[in-house]
This record gives sequence, C-alpha cells and structure tokens, in this order.
Amino acid sequence: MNMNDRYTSLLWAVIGFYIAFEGYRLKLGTLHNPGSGFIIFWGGLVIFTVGLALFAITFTSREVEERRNLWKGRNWTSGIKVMASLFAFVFVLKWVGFLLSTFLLLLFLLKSMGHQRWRTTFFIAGLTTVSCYIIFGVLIDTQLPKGILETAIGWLYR
Amino acid sequence: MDLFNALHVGLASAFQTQNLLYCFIGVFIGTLIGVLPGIGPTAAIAILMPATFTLPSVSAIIMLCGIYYGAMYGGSTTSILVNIPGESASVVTCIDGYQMARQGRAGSALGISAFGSFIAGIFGIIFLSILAPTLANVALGFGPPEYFSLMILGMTLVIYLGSGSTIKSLITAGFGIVLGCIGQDPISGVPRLVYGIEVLWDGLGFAPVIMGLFGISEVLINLEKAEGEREICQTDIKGLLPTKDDWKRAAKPIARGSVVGFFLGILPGGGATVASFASYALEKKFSNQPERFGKGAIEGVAGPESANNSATMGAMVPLLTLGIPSNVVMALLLAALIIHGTPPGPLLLQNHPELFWGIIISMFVGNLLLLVLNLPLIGMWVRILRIPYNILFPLIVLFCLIGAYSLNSMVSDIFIMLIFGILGYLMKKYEYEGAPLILAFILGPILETNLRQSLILSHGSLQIFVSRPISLICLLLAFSFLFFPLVPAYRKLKLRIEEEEDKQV
Repeated sequence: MNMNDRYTSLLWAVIGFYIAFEGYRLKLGTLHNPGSGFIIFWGGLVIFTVGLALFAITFTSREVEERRNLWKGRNWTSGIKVMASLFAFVFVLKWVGFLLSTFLLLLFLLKSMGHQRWRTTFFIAGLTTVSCYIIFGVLIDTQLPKGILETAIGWLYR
Repeated sequence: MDLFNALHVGLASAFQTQNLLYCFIGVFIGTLIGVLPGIGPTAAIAILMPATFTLPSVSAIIMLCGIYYGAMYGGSTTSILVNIPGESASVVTCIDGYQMARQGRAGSALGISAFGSFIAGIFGIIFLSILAPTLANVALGFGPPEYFSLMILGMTLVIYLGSGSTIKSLITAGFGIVLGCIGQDPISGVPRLVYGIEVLWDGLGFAPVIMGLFGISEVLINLEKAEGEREICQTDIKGLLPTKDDWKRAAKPIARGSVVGFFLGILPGGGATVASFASYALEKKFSNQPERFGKGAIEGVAGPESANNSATMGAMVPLLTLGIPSNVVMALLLAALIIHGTPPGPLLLQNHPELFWGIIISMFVGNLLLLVLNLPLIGMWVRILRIPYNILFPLIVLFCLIGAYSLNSMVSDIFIMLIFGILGYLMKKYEYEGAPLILAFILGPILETNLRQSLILSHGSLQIFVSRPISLICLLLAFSFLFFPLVPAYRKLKLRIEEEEDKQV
C-alpha cells in the first residue's frame, strides 16, 4: 500500500457514492420484487464503503509506503501519442476508409514510436495493411469501411 | 451418456478437418504468444475473440483453448533462453531454467519442459474427463440461490487469492458489477446508466471492454518501459530429448506437478501462476539437495512447467460444469461461449455434448501438436524472440482495432475499447487488478438475474440463501475469506509470487 492509494481511494468513494445515488434514482424496489436500481445501488455502496475504508487505512496503517512517483523515469508520453493517434483513427476511419487510415496509422506508429527507417516503415505499413485487408476484409468477410479512396477506385473501374 | 459414447462424440467432433485446423492455429498462436514477452494469453484471446465469431462454436472454443495452453508451452522458451518469462506462469521457470541454459544444458531444460508439460496435460485431460461429468450431474440440482452463492464465492476467491491487494480488488469487482448493469434491465427493460447514448442501450459488450482492459492497456504499459538489450543465451541448443538421468530426476516432480497443478487450477484465483510457484516450493521441500535449486536443478523446471499446464486443464472444470470461471482467461472463454450461444454450466454437457467432449478430445490433439511444434521449431522461436517490441506493438494495436470494429461494424466499439484501454492502464499504474473487474463484469448480469429470481421465489425472504445447504456453505466460505485471513500459507505464496513478478519487471 502506498500514498497514491489515499487519493485513488477517495476518488473511488466519490464514484461509488454517485453510482449508489443513480441506483437509488432507478428505484430499489422491494426485496419481494427488486427494482432496476437494486444491484447498482448495492454495488455503488460497496465501492463507496470500501473506498472510504481504504482511505482510512492509509492513515492508520504502519505499512504505508511513501508516495511513489509513478511517472518519473517512465516514457509515459508514448502512451499519450499512441492514444491520440488511435482516437484520430477512430474519427477518420469511416470517412477515409480502412486501407488509407490503417496505412497512415501504421506509418505514424512505426516511424514516430518505433523509430524505424522510412523504407522499413513504408514496407511494414504497406504489407501489414494489405495483409489485414485480405485476411479480415476478404477471407473473414469483415465489413471494413470503404471510405473515399476505395469508393473512388471502385468508381474508376465501373 | 457413458464414457465410450462420450469419447466417440468427442472424437467425431475434434477430428473434423476444420476443428483440427483451428486446434493447430490456436496452439501455434498460443506458442507464439508465450514466446513473445509483452503480450500474454489473456490479451491474445481478447484480441482474437472477435475473429472467432464467424466460426462454429466448437471450432472457436477449440482455438481459444489452444491459445491458452499453447502459451504455457511457449512461455518456457523465453524463460530458459532469455531469463524473461513469456507469460506469468513461466516466471518461476526462469530461476533454474536460465541457469541450466548458462551451463550448456538448454536442450535438456527445453526438452524436459516440453515433455513434462505434455505428460501433465494428458493427466489433466484424463482427470477433467472424469471429474467434469460427475460435477455437472451434481450441479443439475442447483437453483438460482445456489448459483448466486457460488458466483459470490467464486468472485470472493478471485479477489482474495488473486495477486494484488484484496481491498482494491473488492473495489474493482464492485465496479465490474455496475458496468455489467449498463444497458437495459433484462427484466423490466428500463435503461440503466445509458445517459441518452444510444449505443449503450445494449450494454458495453464483452469484447471491446476485454480488449481495452487487457490488450490496449498492456501495450501502453510496455511502451513506458525502455527496451533493454535481450541477452539470448548463446549456447548450442542440442540434446532436446532428455537423458536417462534427466528422466530419473524429473519423473517425480512431473507427477507431483501434474496433481498439484490440476487441483490448484480448479480453485478460483489459483491458476497456472500459483500452481507453478506451489510446485517449485514443493519440489524444493521434497528434494534431498535443496541447495541445488536456483543453480540449474532440472526439478525446478520439470515440476513448475508440468504444474502450469495441468492447471490449465483444472481451470476448465468449474467453467464447463458450473459456468464459473476460475481466472481471467476462463472468464474470457465464458464470454466467448455466451456470445456463441452455448453458455457453460451443467446443461452444456446435456445440450451440447459435441462441444463439451470435442473440447476435451481436442486438448489431447493440441498437447501432441505442441510437443511437435516446440522442440523441432525451437530455432524459429528463438529468431522470433529478436523482433523488437517497437515493430510488434503496432500490429497488436491494429488487431485490437480491427477486432473491435468487426463486432458490429461500429466505430463506437473501438471508442469503448480505447476508453477501457486508458482505464486499464491507469488501473495497472495504481495497482488495481483487472481480473476481478472483468470477472464481475461478465458474471454480474448472471448474478443479478439469479439474485432477483431467488428473491421472487422466496417472496422477498433472504432466508432462501441460508436454508439451502450448498448456498449456505458457499456464503460462509466467502464471508470467511473476506473477513478472516484463512490459509496463511496461501497468502505467503501470493506475496512470493508478487516479489518474483516485481523482480522480472
């Protein structure tokens, strides 16, 4: 147990309280006929109670370590870059289409995160995109979004 | 159904060309996952689960099971050659396995690991074949109160016996139950916790949550770490077939590991990791020369590797017969079985004997394939070890994205997966376990239904849970585990596992 638990336990207690409140709003019903909010209320109450208990323990327990800096010495900015690129992928996927958005995503991940050479990056990104399209889009028949590129290619071949 | 007919049904199912192919694919991918540090069987099953939705349920489950026990085989390769466990159940193999490799005995270590895993796997399957139908017959008499209490006991054991803080696991389990309630109330149809968001009306969906919590979060955690030099033991790997002396030393550890592993695998919160540590501790105790352990004792490889593979078979017992997963991988298999319309439990054996016995027989086939894959292809696995994580992680991420999208062709599923990826990452950073959350998330709706059915049956009286013996025993045990530290030796084992896993980080 460490000092970070003091803050996270308080956060959980607040979340638990809110969940219990939402469960109460959904109606608890009776024991004979439990309502929609019954299990949500009790689940929230468990989170709230245990969160407060953990909060109290961080003050009373002798085994609490000093607060650890969980971010020092860790390359946590990589995670932010990756998540930002993934959210961008989600937003453009339907519009741009699977092939182009996947290729661009892989280019970014391999080059900026993987620090690969441009030739390697293009080769792996291209090969992976095409392979995934063949495996998932053609063989498994997953309905991957077409987007502007594939629509244009389809229109040209008509 | 008698055993002969059961085996006939199983053989007919498992030996269909399609099922043999998927068994091979599963064990191959499982070995690959086991070899590659940075991705474990949990993440792999989570990522590949959507790809199985178009397959028949038997093929899908055979493949996913193959990934699980295949990873146990593969994990030993990196433990022995690189001193980095491919997955958590191989942590203890590093202790003596790597020392054997440094002494020029990598071949013996790899060989006895593969053969020990094979023998233990066969033992586990035989026991599973005997125990599971018996337990399924007993469970036919269970009603909603028994199922509710069993699930409470199962979740309590996962919370108590799993790694990490018990109190934090209780919080995440509570949160998991609440997440399982998102969507329409199954009884009244009232929308719960949807906040007007249409995509949440059908609930969160198992696959995006699982892929986010275990797949994406794992990538984020691994990206934080600097990629250190992997020193692969530069010894000639020869003599993969164990010598007579190797067998003499390893025979009893393999036998003990098989038994210990199987029964620990049945226990919720137990599983392959705990089994491997327990086996190591046992072998050290039984040995005439305990000082050899840690310096290349073959018993320190044979026992744990047998135990971890046997545990994977033991874990199938509560899942297939009661529908109670004993660890997070079993929870994923439970989710897969539910999605395929074949929920596990005592009726699985009655209604889908081809699925039940097909899985069991395919495990024989799978273990045989693994023996063939692991030894002759060792050179290939060593080359794969050299793939940098910077090339690997984009592929993992891409499979997650495609997997999430392929469920319903909706970007909202990818969005949910990414949100849970962030949540899983933060949970790992602040040392909150994901296993209780996912178990509660999957079991929560079933738990709620059984609770409400029980209360309706009893006209609102809670006495129904204590007046029925099995329900009462389960609740008493759950209460004891939560409030009284039972089995101190088990707690010590848990602490030891955490220490060894921290060393490997």
